[in-house]
Amino acid sequence: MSNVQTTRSFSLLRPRSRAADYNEEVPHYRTALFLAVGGLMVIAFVTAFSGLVADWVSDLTDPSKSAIVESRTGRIETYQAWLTPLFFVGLASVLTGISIALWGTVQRVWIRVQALDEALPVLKRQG
Amino acid sequence: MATNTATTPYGFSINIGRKATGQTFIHKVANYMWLPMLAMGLMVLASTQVAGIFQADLASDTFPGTASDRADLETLKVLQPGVIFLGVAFLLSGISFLLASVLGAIRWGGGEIQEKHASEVHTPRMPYTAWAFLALMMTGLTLEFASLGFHIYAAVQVHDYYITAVPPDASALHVLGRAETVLSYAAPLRMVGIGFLLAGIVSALYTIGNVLRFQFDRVTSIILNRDAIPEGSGS
Repeated sequence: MSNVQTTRSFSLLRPRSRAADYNEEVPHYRTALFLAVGGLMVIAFVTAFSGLVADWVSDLTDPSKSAIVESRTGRIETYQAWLTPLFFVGLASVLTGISIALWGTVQRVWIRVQALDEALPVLKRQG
Repeated sequence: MATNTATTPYGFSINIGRKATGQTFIHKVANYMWLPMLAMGLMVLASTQVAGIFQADLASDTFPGTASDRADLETLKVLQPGVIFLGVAFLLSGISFLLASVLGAIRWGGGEIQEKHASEVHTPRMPYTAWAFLALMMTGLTLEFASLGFHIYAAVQVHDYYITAVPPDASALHVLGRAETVLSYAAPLRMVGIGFLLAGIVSALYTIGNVLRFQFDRVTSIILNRDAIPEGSGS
């Protein structure tokens, strides 16, 4: 019977009760993947849209389009104003995914401690 | 309590005693701080997205527009990167604290296991890479705050320039020059800050790698009832 302290005051990092199956999947890794892929999709969208904005930027130096320079400038400023933070929202989603995967890793370390606590006496006898 | 110290080949020394020492103060801080840091980062970036939509609305009416609209737009443009990078810095700090929590869990859990199943408890002393990790993270976050300060100062100058007239008064050009100068310092500074934070994460991962090496060897020696410590020159 294990004596390692597994039930204690609430902790997000250390599981409160022993896992019935140490190989049971913690939900963090799937969530992390979902966030990372979602973030990448947002970044891909911003990148694709930036191509359109780049096309408008090229109009600014085109002498034949001097009449529309002011409206083009307004449009570029408008799109860049929300595209830039949107890119970082995508990046934040990826970084949050990394964080949640690490959170799962901390919990995994504690589950490993419990597994080792049970397995070590048996292994020592065999060793 | 620790009674002896020994060097190891893992890049750090160890304390040898009879009792597990638990986590250090830094690990405890990390256990509490990772979630607030992540939450602050997400809130800052979400608010910059909302501000970006407001800024886009302003930009669509500003060419041509009033001096006040133009001044507000240019002010937001200058502020945006400083705030965004502070949000990213908070997120990276949250990740750094989680890595410190991984180290804390390895130390605490490893100590508990040794106390129960081994005659001696070998506890890693804080290696220089862990100190470097802390220093890099703190420096990175500080630089991001400093960069935000520069952005706020430049934003005030930019507002003062564009509020003069449409087009802005040429006699106020020195104000814009002052803002551009400050921004020239702020832009690389915020990148350096992110670089420090990422370097801190690398240092933390390096430390985790070394601590895992130590722990694998320690578990093996407990199973095989060996008390000999591999010799080395840890700090």
